[in-house]
Amino acid sequence: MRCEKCKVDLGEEYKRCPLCASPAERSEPVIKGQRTAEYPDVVYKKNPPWYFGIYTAAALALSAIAVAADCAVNKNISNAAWVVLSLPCLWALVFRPIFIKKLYFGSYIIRDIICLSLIMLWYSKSRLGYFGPAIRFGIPLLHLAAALVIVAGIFAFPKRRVNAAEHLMVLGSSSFLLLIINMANGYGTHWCAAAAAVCFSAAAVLARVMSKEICDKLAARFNV
Amino acid sequence: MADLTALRGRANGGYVAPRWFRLDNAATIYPAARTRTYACTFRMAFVMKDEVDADILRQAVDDIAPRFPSFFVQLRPGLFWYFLERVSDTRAVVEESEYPCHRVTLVETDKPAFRVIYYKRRLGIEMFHSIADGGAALLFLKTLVSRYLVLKGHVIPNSGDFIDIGEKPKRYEHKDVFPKLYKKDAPPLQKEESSYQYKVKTIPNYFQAVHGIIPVKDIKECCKPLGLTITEYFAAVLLYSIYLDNPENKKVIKLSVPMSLRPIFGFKTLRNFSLFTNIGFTPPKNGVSTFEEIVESIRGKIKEGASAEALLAPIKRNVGSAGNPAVRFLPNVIKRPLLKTAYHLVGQRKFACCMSNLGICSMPPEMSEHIDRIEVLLGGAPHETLACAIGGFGDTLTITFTGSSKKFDIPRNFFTFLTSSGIRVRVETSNKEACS
Repeated sequence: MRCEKCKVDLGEEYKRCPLCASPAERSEPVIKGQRTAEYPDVVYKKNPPWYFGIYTAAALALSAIAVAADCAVNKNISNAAWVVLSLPCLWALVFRPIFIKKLYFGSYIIRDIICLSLIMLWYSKSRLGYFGPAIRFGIPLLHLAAALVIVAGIFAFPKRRVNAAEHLMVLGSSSFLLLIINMANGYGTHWCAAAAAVCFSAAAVLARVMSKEICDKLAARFNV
Repeated sequence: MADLTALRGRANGGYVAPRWFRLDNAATIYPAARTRTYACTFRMAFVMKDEVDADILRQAVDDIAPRFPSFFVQLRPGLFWYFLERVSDTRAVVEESEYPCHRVTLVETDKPAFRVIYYKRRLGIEMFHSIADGGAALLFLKTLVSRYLVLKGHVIPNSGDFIDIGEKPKRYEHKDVFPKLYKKDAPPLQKEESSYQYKVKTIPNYFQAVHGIIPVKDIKECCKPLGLTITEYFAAVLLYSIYLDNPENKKVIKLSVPMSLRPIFGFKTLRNFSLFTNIGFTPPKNGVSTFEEIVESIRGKIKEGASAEALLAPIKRNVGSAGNPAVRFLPNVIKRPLLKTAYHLVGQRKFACCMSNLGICSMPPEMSEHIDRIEVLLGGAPHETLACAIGGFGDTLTITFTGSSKKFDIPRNFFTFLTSSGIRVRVETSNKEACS
């Protein structure tokens, strides 16, 4: 086939010229020996829904409603603040896990801990008057629970042991930091110590088993 | 220079490819620049004489994987920057079912950051640009096709056109050689004027390719009287086509022409090792431009931009800024959005269209007899509505325009100009609506 307007050869099955949309005319091609390399039929797909965007819009709307209701009924926004702060927590614990791929299981646990820790700190300060309960019990217990989940994950996903070691080291370091803060403030340190001990001992066992892989991965992560 | 020669010539000496690779200097921008609609991928494919056998192709991929450890990698986030981690999963072969240069799954997968596609007679690769540039990807594809043909029972001698999979990977193949070319006393990069931007309505998630198949003989006959190289000739025609699309524009129209640095500096790395030179012309304030004026304004400019001295300035800028402690030690989570913003606001405004010429692909005759032609497709930059890539095989050149718009104005100007100059052209497209 040929387009006499553009003066180009076209594929054997072309009915129109893709350049000018003129009807293709049956005539001898000027370039011999070429055959059309077909493309598959592709179904056009719109962008997938932007879950985070939908969630953010819903969260903002809920926050606005909560603040307005709180102002109207209680003349302050402390209850509304509770709702607003709990929304990221809801996202981290309920919605986000739906999209978790096993490769990033540990990373999501750490992100969830950050969200929950912030909520705990706020709750502790606003409702109980000081950060102590969150730093002494709440956050260390979260670390401990997360460490146990990651340790369980080592058995479920043996290929992910290097990632698990990294996550345990992050949790261990954070628990150790909490331990120092608690010691400086004269709070009890046993929960922090337990969390740090679990994290570091599990990481140490993994490091013993696969030290080269872990060192390699850490070198890659910290490469500058 | 002595240490570089030693590096190039060093015997393998028990080298074992590392489990992870730093991103090379040219690759660092792609993870940051990537968006939901800009995949940072390119495609390179051979159109074979016969339909592709998927099972044999899978076997060929498995066979060549140990020889290409820097290709079978996946992008991972690090504390300060991304890195490439080797993956053992070689299931990269897929039957083509999406638009060309479709997004490659990154980070959250254990599959490599490229795919081997096949559909009827087409056999190719679609690769995330951080892994390798066109030159290295072509070598990979040629090795894959040679192995595929061997598995099909053909005898393919290796005359140095592709990599011997019996050998072990070499250290120099995995080196980022940009830092080795860094010279502190190189001249600074000149400030460049922003280019006219070809604007057309784009469709998210849509991508189409228009191929123009041209006999090499015809194009050589056209270049000879003008004293131009093939790349210069096509650059002039493309600039003229963009100009004809909007003759009212008086702003400089520039093309970005990537060039492989391997022949210039003599390295044989399989990572990214290319840079861009921007060439263009400014339409006159009064009156109209002619093709001859454009030819004169770009004559010799590509050669000038491809000289070792001229290339030291962009290398100095790129390597210098990557080595700056303020950039180097900035955490990835902060660095990535900053780079993305800079790339989209500034970096992409310097040219209207990218035109890459891979040159004529050499191959042993025993292999050539099973291949019809080569196709090279650029994913295009985010603001770009059109990109152009040229690949040659045997006596045929294939020029491919790609973009996420359904308009064909510039390809039409381009190909009709060629036909009016006496060049024979055959047009094919991936857009089935446009030809049925």
